[in-house]
This record gives sequence, C-alpha cells and structure tokens, in this order.
Amino acid sequence: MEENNSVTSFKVGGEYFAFETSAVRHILENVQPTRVPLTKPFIIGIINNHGNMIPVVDFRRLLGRESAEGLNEECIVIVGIENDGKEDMVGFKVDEMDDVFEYESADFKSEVVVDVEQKVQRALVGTIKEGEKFIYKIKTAEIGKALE
Amino acid sequence: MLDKFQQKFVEEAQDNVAIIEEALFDLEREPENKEIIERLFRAMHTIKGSGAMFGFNDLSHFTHNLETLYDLIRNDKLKVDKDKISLTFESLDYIRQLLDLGEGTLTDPDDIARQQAYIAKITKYFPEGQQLTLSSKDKAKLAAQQAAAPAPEVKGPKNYLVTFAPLESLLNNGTNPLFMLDDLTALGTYRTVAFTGAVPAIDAIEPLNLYVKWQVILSTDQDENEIQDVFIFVEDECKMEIKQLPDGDILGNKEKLQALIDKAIESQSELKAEDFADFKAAPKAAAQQAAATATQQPAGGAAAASAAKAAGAGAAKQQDNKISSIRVSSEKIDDLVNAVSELVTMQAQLNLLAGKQEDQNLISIAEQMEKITRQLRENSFSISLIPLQGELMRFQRLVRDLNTKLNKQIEFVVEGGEIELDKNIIDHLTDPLLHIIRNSGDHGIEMPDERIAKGKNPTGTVLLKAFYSGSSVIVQVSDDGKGMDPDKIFKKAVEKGLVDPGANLSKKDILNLIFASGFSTAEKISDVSGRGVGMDVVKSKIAEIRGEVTIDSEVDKGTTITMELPMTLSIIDGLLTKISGEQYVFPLSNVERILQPSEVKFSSNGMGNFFEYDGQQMIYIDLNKVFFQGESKIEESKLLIVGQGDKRVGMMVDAVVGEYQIVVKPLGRYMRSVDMISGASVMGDGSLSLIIDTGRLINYYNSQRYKKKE
Repeated sequence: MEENNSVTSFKVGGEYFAFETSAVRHILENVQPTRVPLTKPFIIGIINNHGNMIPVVDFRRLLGRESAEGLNEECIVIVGIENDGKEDMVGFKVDEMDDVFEYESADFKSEVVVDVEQKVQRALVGTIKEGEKFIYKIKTAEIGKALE
Repeated sequence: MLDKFQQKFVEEAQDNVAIIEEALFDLEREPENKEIIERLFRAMHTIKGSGAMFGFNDLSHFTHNLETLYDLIRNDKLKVDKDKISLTFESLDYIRQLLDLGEGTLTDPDDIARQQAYIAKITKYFPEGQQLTLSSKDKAKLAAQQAAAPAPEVKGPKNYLVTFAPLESLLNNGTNPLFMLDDLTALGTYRTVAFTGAVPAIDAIEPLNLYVKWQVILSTDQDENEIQDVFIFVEDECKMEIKQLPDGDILGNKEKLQALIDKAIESQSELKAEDFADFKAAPKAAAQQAAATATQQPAGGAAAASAAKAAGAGAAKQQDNKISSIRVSSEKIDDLVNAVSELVTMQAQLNLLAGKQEDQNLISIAEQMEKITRQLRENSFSISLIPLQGELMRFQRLVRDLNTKLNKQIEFVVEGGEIELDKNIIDHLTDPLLHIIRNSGDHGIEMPDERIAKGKNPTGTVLLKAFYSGSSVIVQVSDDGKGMDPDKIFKKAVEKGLVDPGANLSKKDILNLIFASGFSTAEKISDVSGRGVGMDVVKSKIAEIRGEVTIDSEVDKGTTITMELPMTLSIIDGLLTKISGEQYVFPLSNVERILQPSEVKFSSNGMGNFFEYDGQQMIYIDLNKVFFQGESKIEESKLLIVGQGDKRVGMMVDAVVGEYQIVVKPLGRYMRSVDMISGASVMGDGSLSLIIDTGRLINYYNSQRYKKKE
C-alpha cells in the first residue's frame, strides 16, 4: 500500500508538528474565536466556518503548556477528523505555519516518547527528520480521541 | 447493493406496507367495508408488481399469495376475521424483513423454508371447492352474477372479449400498452386484434401519441377481476370493456373467427359480444344477458367501480392526496434548511449595512429581500415539519401486540395526530414513546377481570394526545390503569439508595423519582417491558431535544406522562443578552420577565444570593461568576426571571440587547461536555452568540453549589 507522505508542518512553542496534508481543510489567520465558558481547558472557543461551528483548540495547552498571547503570526489550522463516516472539523491554534512537503519514508521513525498527556502522545505517531528539524507527525483520528 | 431504482422501490414498498397496515386497523373495525379491502388490495398489487419489476422475486411471490387471499375476500369467497387480520399483520412484518434484507432473491435454504411456511399459512385459507360464504348485502350482487353466468358449476375456461382503447396520451406516463397486452394474454389462450384505423397520415403523426386500440378474445380460467387487474393503473387513461362471451371453443373455431376479425378490421368497427353468439349452441338469450350485465359495469373493474362508488368522494380524495405530495430525501431538506439559515444571517447583515449606508435604494432592496427571506424561511421550515401521524401506526401495532401477548384489552386512542413536529424531534421521540406506551400497557392497564372487580370498563384506554401550547408541542400519554403508588415508589427508591429514608418529599417529587437512573418499577423483567432501559433514558432522550418530561399519577385512576417539546430544533425565538462582552441567547419561552435591579430587594445569606419577587424569596445566579469567575455590578445589571419546568430562578446578565430569531447551530462532537450551552448562532454582523440551555444551567449551578458545600 502506498503511504501518503505529504504533510503540513507548523511550529508550536519551538517544536515542529505536522498534520497529514490530506486532512487539512483551511488555514485561517487573524480570526478571534468566540469564548465558550466552562469547557475543557484546551478549547479556546468556537469559530464560524460557512455556517458550521468549529471548536478551536489551543495546541500549546493541549501539550500541557502555557498558552501564548500576542504572537505575530498566530494561525488556526482547520483539520477534518473522521468519526463514524462523518467528518468533524476542528481548528488548532498554532504559533506559525511552517511548510507543506513530502518526506522520504526513510526519514520517518515511528515511536515517540515525549512528556505529554498519554492521549496526546498516542496521536504523535512518529518523527520526520527534515534537514536539521525533527517534526512530530500527528495522526488526526487519534488527536480527535484526545479531544473528547 | 441496491441501485437507486431498487432503493426507490424499497421506500415505496415501505409506504405501501404502511398503507396496508393502516387499512388493516380500519378493516378490523369494519370488516365488511369494501373500500378498505380495495385499498389493501391495490397496495399489495403494487408491491407485487413493482417487486417483480425490480428483481424482488421472492417478495413478489409472497405478496402474490397475500393478494390472492384478499382477492378472495373482495370477491366474497372468504370472510375477514381476526385470524386473517393477524396473519396479514404477521405477513407485513415479513415483507418488511424482506425489504430490509434488500435482496431480490432468497438464497439461504432456511429463509426459503420460512417463506414457504408463511405462504402455507396463507394458502390454507384458499378454498378448494369454491365454498361461498356471503354477507347478506352482497347476495343481490351474487344473484346478478349468477344470472350472468347461468352455469357457475361448469368448470373450464370462459371466453371474454376485452376491448382496450387507450387515450392518445397513454405513452406520456411511460406506460407500455404492449406489456399490458402481454399480461392479459398470459391469463389464457387468446387472439388479439389491433385496430389501426385511427392512425393518421405519416406527416400528421405525433410520435408520442398512441393511435391504436386492441380487442382480445381471451379464453381463461381466471375470473373477470384478474382481467381488470391488468388495467388497474391505467383505468383513467383508457376505455376498457370486458364482455363475457358464450362458453365453448371460440378460439378453436379458427376459420369462423378469422372471418369475423377480417370483417371487423375492414370496417374498423369493434367486435361485439353479439357477433359471437352463434359460435356455440349456448342459449342465445343467456349470452345476450351476460353481455348486458357486464356492460352495465364499464371500465375500471366491477368490484373496483362499485367500491369506488360506494366510497364516493373518499376514494377520489385519496387519489388527490397522492398527486399533491412528493417524496424528497431528508438530506435535501436538511441542506435546504441550512442554506436558508445562512440566507437569514446574510439578510441580517445586509440590513445592517443598508442602515449604515443610509442609501434609500439599498434600504428598500434590503426590505424587499427581508420579506422574501422570511417567507422562504417559513416555507422551508414548514417543509421540515412532519405530522406525528406517520409514527402512530407503530404504536397502534404495539398496543395490539400487547393485547395478544398479555391477554389484556387495551384500546389505543389518538388525539391530535395531525400536529406537526421537526423530523429530528420525531426521530428522537419515537423510542421514548414506545417505551412509555409499553409501560402503560404492561404495568398500567390491569387485566380485564381485575378491572371489572374495580368497577372499571374491562377495556383499558391508552390515550396519546398532542397539542400546541405556545411555541411548544405537548405530547401526552395517559392510561386509565392502576396508577402509581407513591409509597411504593418511595420505598423502592430508598432500597436502591436513590433517596434518604428520612427525606420529606412531595408526591410530585416522589413520582419524579422514576426518572432517576437505576430505577425501574417492573417487579420482574417481562418480555414486553423492563429490558433494562428505564424512564431515565426517556428523560435524557427528551432532554436531548430540549424537551421536558413530567409525570402525574393517581392510584387506580391512571398515569399521565407529559412531554413538552419545541416545534423545531433549528430555530428559536431568543432574547439576546451580554455577559462579559460576549453575546448569550436565552430561549424566549423560558424568560418570564426582565427586571431592573433597582426594582427589587436583594439579600444574601449562607444559603445563597436572593431577591424578592412576587412576594417570594428567589435565588439568583450571577452568570458572570458562573461563566468567567467574575462578579456583576448589581446596579448595572439586568435580572431575568427564568422558568424551566417548575423551577424559577433569577439570572443576572450585564445587558439585554433584544429579541431575535435565532438559527441554532450545534456545537458538535468535541463540545459535548459544555451541555449548558445548547448551541451557537451567527448574528447579523457575523459575530457568534451562544445559546443557553436554561434547564441544564440551573442543574449545573445546583450541582456546583452542592460541591462547594461538601
């Protein structure tokens, strides 16, 4: 089976992460989510995308870090997550976008051990070595479970 | 995999099954009503016919037998009785199974054996010796038939002259007359004559018009009804006549027949029954009489025609209904409603813009648009509403099954079946209703002798009543059974550890305990109810659609369960407020009053924050505090009196903006934990507002308070 190696990478708190490009729906800049009270700590709020309400997750807080305020290039990556044959969209607030590229399978190493919550760790399926950078690859289906 | 035509067939067949089911209930009440039998018969005929067309051969074969049974009934050869109706109900379930199976042909030998067993059950009613049982009012008709067929005991084929003269427009409906001739001639041996005299010159031919008519001399063992059934769908689009010809071997007498046909074609005049009079030594008078009686019942089928006449306008009206509605997939309706919701939002933005620009032309366009948008919104939302009626048949059925299984006498009465609700609400409502009705029948209504001992009518009643109340719909299920004993419920709740034995509860509070999870009053698990799902599931299901359930019960008088439901889930009248700079919407139906803080007297003690309203001390919730751990400045706030069910509390917000029509958008899967926010809405300026679920907010607030105390 041909593995799809195209990823969209971004930076959060100095580290690089990547979603499968096939799951990325939009990238929004300068959008302020509407706060939703009494929700999970990593959810900032919701945004309106063509009449659909999309929750926005603070990626820093998901990793268990302090959220950053006032970054210049703050972006929201909207990702489609498949659930029971239906796609739910979720936005992730990240520090800045990095690149869209295809990696060589030889540069991919599965197994990641990092200091984050177990549910989040499960979504990090491996690292991609891209030049000097190490990029954590995120499996969207698993990150969805971490949000529930 | 079903292709899209088969899918369509399955949907239509399901509708027809529903029609049959409904007719069966009617038939149970009026077993002699020909119009009902006819309705049944037609629906079966459609299932059979289109089933075969789409490759559902076993379904078609099975339905054919069922149809035959009803054919015998409508021809007065069999009488309707309870067993036959029960058998038909059973058969309907079986047809549904076949439809669900979605396969044209059964392959599993077990399935085939099962089908054969079913068919055997039906065919056992088929008479062998044509023994007739007749109701008195049909005797006259029989007498006429006997006159028409002077020797009914003579077996063997009968001869008919069938004249089929379609209207020119027949082809427009996609009907192929040749198929009908095929069906007709499949009934026996035949000779077909085509009359082409009406075909115009080639330059005048309209290719879509049909210019030909036919006559068929048919020799068949089947009776006239079978012949009429061939034309059952084109009754209105053709002239059709069936005349009985003298018995005997008309078709065998080829030369004589050919001469007759040649003459007819040459003169382009139809064959007449009289032409055949001298084919056999049959008494001339009888033949003429036969022809005469048969002509008295023209196209459309003798039974069908007389039934239609008997039913009069009723039958005609039914046909109208069919044409005046179309079938649309629910997805398309969802899309439409979504698009219209978007339009409503955009419209509000346009209004805002027009007001800002102060351009008269733009303002008038915006106003026009607003009118149309409102109309469109109302129309499309009304499309997504469906009457409760459609679901009721299942409940009828349930009650009927309960009667049989439990040996009870329960009558199911419906009031307000025409009340319309959002289809999503109806989807959510069906399971709770089934559960409630099952409970009423199983636990509520007593056995007949017990009822007699109590001086009640041995037949118990389960009443389902639906009506509008403001912007809500109330659905009520009440029974006149034994009711619920609060002491028993209380004891049980204590046993289950749901309440403190020393708790002092009102009767209402005690009755409401049955909605607590882990509570089931069924003493033992029966086949009918008590399968582990309790009233708590009912309550949470109803709460999912922003509904409320309450219960009232009187020992030996009965129990009433009331559900208050919104009419639609996607749009509400809301009161827009501001809390900490964010927009929050309260469902208008839950807001009783808006008070200025200066109008009321506040107090605060260890039990909470209160104010005086209606001479009562009422608690208030500071939403700034609940949502954002802030604190409202009382004097700059507004106080809403919010009622949910029988609870009323004050809620403090920063400001009240006004009344709006709010299109509710769900927050989706990842926000389920935030259940006091039931959704969001896009406002005119593109910003978002959050919609508060007042009932859940009150519950949340209470649970937080208790947590603090602990």
